Amino acid sequence: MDSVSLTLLSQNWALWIGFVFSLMLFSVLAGNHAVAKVAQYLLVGVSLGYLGVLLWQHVLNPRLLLPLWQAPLQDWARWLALLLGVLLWLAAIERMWLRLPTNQPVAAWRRTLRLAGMIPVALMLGVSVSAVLLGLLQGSLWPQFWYTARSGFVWSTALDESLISVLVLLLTTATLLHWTAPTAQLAAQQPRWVQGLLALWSGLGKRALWFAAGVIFARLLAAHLSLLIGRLQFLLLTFQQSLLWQSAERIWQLLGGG
Amino acid sequence: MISSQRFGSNYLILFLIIFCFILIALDRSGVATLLHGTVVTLYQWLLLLASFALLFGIAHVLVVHLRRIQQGQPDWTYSLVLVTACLAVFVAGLLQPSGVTSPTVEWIFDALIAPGQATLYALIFFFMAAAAYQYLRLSYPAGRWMLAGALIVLIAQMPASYTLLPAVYGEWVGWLLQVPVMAIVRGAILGSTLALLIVGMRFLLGRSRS
Amino acid sequence: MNVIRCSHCGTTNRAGSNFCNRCGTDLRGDEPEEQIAPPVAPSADFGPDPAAESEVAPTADQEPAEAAEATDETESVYDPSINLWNSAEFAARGRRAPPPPPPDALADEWLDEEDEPPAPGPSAAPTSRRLITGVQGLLDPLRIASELTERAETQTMLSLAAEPVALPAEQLRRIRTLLTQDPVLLDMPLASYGQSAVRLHLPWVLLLFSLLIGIPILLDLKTPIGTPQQWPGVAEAYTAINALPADAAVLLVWAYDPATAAELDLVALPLASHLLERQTQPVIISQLPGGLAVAQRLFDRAMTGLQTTSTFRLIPGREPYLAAGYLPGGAALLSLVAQDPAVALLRHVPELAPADGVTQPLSSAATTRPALTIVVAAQAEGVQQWLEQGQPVQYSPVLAFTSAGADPVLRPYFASSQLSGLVSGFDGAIAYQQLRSVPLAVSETALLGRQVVLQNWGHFGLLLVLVLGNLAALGRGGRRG
Repeated sequence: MDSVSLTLLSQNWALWIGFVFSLMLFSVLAGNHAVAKVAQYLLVGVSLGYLGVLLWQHVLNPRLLLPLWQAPLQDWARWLALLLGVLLWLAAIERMWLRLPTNQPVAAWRRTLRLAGMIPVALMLGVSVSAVLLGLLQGSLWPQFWYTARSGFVWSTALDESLISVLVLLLTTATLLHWTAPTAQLAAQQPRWVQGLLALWSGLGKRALWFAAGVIFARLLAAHLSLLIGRLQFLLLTFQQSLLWQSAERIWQLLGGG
Repeated sequence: MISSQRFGSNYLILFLIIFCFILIALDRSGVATLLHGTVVTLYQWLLLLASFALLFGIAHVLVVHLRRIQQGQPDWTYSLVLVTACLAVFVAGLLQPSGVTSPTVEWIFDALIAPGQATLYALIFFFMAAAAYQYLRLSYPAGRWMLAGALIVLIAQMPASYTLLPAVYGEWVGWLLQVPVMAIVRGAILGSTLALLIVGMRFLLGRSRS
Repeated sequence: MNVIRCSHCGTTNRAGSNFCNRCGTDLRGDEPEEQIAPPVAPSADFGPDPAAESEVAPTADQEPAEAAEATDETESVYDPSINLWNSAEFAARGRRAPPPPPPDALADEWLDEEDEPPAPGPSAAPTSRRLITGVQGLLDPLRIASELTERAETQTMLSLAAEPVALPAEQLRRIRTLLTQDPVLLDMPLASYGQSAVRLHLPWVLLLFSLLIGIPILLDLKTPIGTPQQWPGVAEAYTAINALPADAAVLLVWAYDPATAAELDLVALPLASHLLERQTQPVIISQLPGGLAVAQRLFDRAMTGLQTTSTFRLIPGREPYLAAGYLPGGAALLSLVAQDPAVALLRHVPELAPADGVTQPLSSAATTRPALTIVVAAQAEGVQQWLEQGQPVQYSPVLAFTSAGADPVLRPYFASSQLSGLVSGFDGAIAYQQLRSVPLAVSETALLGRQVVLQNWGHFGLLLVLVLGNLAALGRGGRRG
């Protein structure tokens, strides 16, 4: 059999195995029985193996081990990264796999290893949290705040544009107020008219949030409907290629169904 | 009593985190361009350490399930399926020079991973539709407003509404998305970002007192 | 009156109190000011052990006088039915508590309780501990667990026959599971809806939508009724890509995998086809394990379609796209991609040799700032992460091609011009394709057409579900009235 035929055959096998596998997973709607469980565990196992290969091929080998092998003396930072990674593993192995019986004291080497293992964890946390926080500030908080302020003070000659800018400012502040501030508590010592105003403002924000949640829910429904359509199309169109369907179609035609 | 060792280790960890924060802040702000190389090294370390952590996570899952098999716990047969599948894919990928782009691994991706993940996510729609039946009702105060928002957009995004309803309806819903809903979501983004920033700064400073 | 002064805020509390009334600091282990409360025999398990009452002090340097007074006078009687936190074990005892740690000392939030065993030998101080000074109460079960463990070490005469109380044992089991052990992936069955009211409606919903969508597929209904709405942002995205010169480097942040490919492939296919048609140089990175594979398959599909429907031809010696790599490690790495693409986009295919007609190797194009960055994401977070991590340092225009559900959340970014274009959902995909002059392959066009048909049926079903739900509520309300 030539390579093209082999490719087509393997694609065909992949199609049918995917079909059966999808049905096994769909069967979870009828309960978490053995067939569904096998499918779930198989999916998890295969996904984990795939991830392992990806990590090796795309990260550890080309970015760490291969450069160190080719030029071992040139890059101290990579050696340090390797050391930190190994420390992380050793600390995790000690903590998770070499568990002490409860009535034994922790040896000094264990304590040292746990302390050393905290260093890579702290580095990972430090870099991730720092980047996320600074990104929030630079990419979301400041630009959105700035554009809110700008849009709220656009006093153009056109009445509708001015009204729209006031609407945007009102809705944004109402939502922010409801989201972040306990207005009843804050306004407890204030005059009645202030309490009323804050309650109105926060109430507007609450209802606005519910409305927006409905809009988001509708778009999410469309998104998941697309996913369901895709899956059902795959299942039904694959089934239509089966011998069973083709035989049924032929019988229908013979019976004069058209 | 807190031992001096633990006391010191807590400060070491806090120092490392704050050190990273200062370096990255200075680099991103463009104040200290000399630090750029150091910051890039930190990011590379993050990439490598994350990979180490993920690999350990995979190994840990295997160990847990191997223990389950060894001890004959309930569902050990499923654990055997998981471990076998994981090792088979891992070994198949490592043995071939092209790794994930090898024919074997690509076949496994097309036959198992892609249909499996797609099927699991496709099931979510049924639960969402059932939740819509149960909760988007006029009788609930929040449900009323959510129902209004959902109905307006559902009708607009239904392709048939283009022929059944006047074109101005679609334009009006487009305006709704672009102006009022945008403003509401912006308020939510500002609020959640502020909250996240505060929580993050408290974490950085080691102050998680309530 | 016997009082205990809180070491954290200074508030006086009644002797025997477990927590400060004002700030919640754990007072168990503090010594009352005016009267030393008699100790209670501790035990490693949860039951009282009269045999242990004569062995109150875990270490030999406990004051013998205090220990002798402790045996019979207990402040509280242990009741297994009471929550462990009120157990007599933690009432004030005769042991002299060590001075509390300074208020600004960092809590032991980083290290496990088990790291600190009680020091053996007669010179060791008792280990009445207030380990957690920050998160009051939250990690008390850990402290309880560790104290029990320590007490087991020192109470050599204790009997372990008493059964642990179900609630604390369950609590301990859950805590241990959370912390270290047995991260069982599939603990919860997928169909865990059994306990909720949604379960009653699920079979009907299943049947309704399976029929509404399945029957048109089986009957091969192809004629779509209506056209999807073109939301704001689609035309801007098209214009931005159409304005790209040939060989322009385009960074594609691929943030979806097979789980959401059924929808996102619809959105990304016209994009991929357009980028290839414009002869740009797409460079793809992904932070999802399955993302690169999905991207490669999609671009291959787009290439096949272009070759059948237009005069598109691949430039010899040049890759039509570059799947640059998988980058685990979270959003922070997007900063690396933006600031230093040469480091981030590590090639794992051989370098292209420069040839006639090829202006530059692909890798060098990838080291300069891209002309455009396009985020293809199933969730709004994927786009937000790039806007927060990448765009502030890279400054190239950003387009978003996303799922329908992400659209409303990204509108503020589009309105503030952080996003130059926004295409979302099946309707965005179809609207985008309608703007192009080059058609997709026949099979792909049929797929989009069928999507319109099925979306009509699906939306009809959703509207029916909403109407029926409200009628049901009305009917129930009427009956009650």
